[in-house]
Amino acid sequence: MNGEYSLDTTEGMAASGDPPTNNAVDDYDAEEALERQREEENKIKIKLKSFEGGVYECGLTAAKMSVMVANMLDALQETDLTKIATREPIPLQNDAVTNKALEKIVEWVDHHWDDPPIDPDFDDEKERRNEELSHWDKQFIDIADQGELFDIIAAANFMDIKGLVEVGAKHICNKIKGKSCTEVREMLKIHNDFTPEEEAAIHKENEWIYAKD
Amino acid sequence: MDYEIDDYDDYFVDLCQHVFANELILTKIFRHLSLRQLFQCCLVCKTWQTEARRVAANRSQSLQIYHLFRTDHPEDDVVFRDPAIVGEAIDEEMDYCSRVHWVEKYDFKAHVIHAMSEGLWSVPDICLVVYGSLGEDVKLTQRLYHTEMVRKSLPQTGCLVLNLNSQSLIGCPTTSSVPIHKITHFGDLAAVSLLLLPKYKTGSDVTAFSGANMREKVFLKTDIKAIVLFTTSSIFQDNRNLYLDINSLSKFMTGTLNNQTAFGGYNSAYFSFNKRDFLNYLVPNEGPPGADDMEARELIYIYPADYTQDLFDI
Repeated sequence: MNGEYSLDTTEGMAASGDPPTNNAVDDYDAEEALERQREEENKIKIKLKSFEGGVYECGLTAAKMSVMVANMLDALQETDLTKIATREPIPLQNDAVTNKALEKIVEWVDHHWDDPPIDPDFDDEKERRNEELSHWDKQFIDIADQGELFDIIAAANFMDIKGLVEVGAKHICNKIKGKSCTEVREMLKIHNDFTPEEEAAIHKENEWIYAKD
Repeated sequence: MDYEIDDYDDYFVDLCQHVFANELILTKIFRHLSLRQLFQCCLVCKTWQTEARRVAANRSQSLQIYHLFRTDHPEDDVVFRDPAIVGEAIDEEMDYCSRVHWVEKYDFKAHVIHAMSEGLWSVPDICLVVYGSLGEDVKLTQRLYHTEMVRKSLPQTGCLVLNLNSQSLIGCPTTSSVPIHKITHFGDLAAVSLLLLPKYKTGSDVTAFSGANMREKVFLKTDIKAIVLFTTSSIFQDNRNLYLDINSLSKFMTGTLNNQTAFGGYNSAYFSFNKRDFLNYLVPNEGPPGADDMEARELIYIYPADYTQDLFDI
């Protein structure tokens, strides 16, 4: 795969952090150039290795949706991005990153690689957070096996894939809506660490919840 | 941790504990829940209680500010009505959760900011506009949003708009290698200077704005001629952090800072600014390294922002 793609528009950026300046991108504005760069980079396939040893391949741009993976790739200081494809798989050393979880994560990032990057510092983020899950995401995250679902959320959190953690959080949120605290504890296997006195005090503090409006 | 297949139940329980004790994950889950459901979550376990109360407190502050502001400005009825739904205002009969929902949906604070900035027609070209956090103590996104609203409302686009709080005035140190706009606890000064100062916005090196460099760039290279203050008297009196900041800042202003005149509702005011003293305060020439930071910590902790606890007594 090395050398298969022309990355003349991206090497300068990777090396200096400045916008591309060569003639190939003169006709594009900065945004289009960035889009093109992301598209080109995603043609480069890199390998990720699960905690269980399974190796999964995904596009470079998709893989960089994980902040952790992006930081690891930055640390390589590789100016010729095509060489990344020939490197050893990137190990993901967390027991939540099982084969199944990583397979699903790769599926998710491969589907979402061209999403606008998430930046929590901008005000439209509030709107995005309030959006309903897309049909694709709903189907993706609707996993019968709770263990697998929680593995994906934990692994996504470990890999710092904000969009996927958000999808998982919304799904969990939908599952706990309307449930009592006992039902939530049972469903999510959460140990009740309140003493009876503490629990009574919280009940008293929140008793307005049960009052008729 | 290694598990055999037979240990799956143990693994599952451990996994649940790992996932549902994680503050980041919990925050993401909780922010999609209704206030009523959030208080239900307080009963699940201690970790959930802490996180759910924190998320709930942030939301409740909007409502508290609404009530304070309305009490102070009964004549400004228009601010309290949602223009998208003609004539609709908070109904006194509404239950608590519904009122919080209304305030959030209406974006009441944005209207307050707009109303407060209407009188600012004579500010100098370059000035530092400071205003309170309007109850949002931890959410940088909200602060930026409101800061941007203030900036848009001002007649002079060159104004440096600063959402003032303890951290922002003092400029807490941070890790220089991390882009400051990713550090949510850093305070607004860094973020505002990065995102909203037009002269720095294009092609700026985000890492260069961290720590002392950031302070230097904003205060040494920006020709601040005056400071504009605006807030509401109720918000000011209620916000101990803001009170602290204004008092600290007042040392560098000429003229008397009078609570009645400076903070009376929409009565925005600007003061000439003793920049030299201010810079000496921010970047002291003497003293051991970190002396200013020690002072910063001391100032912050004199008035801990624990007033959110009162919100649960509304």
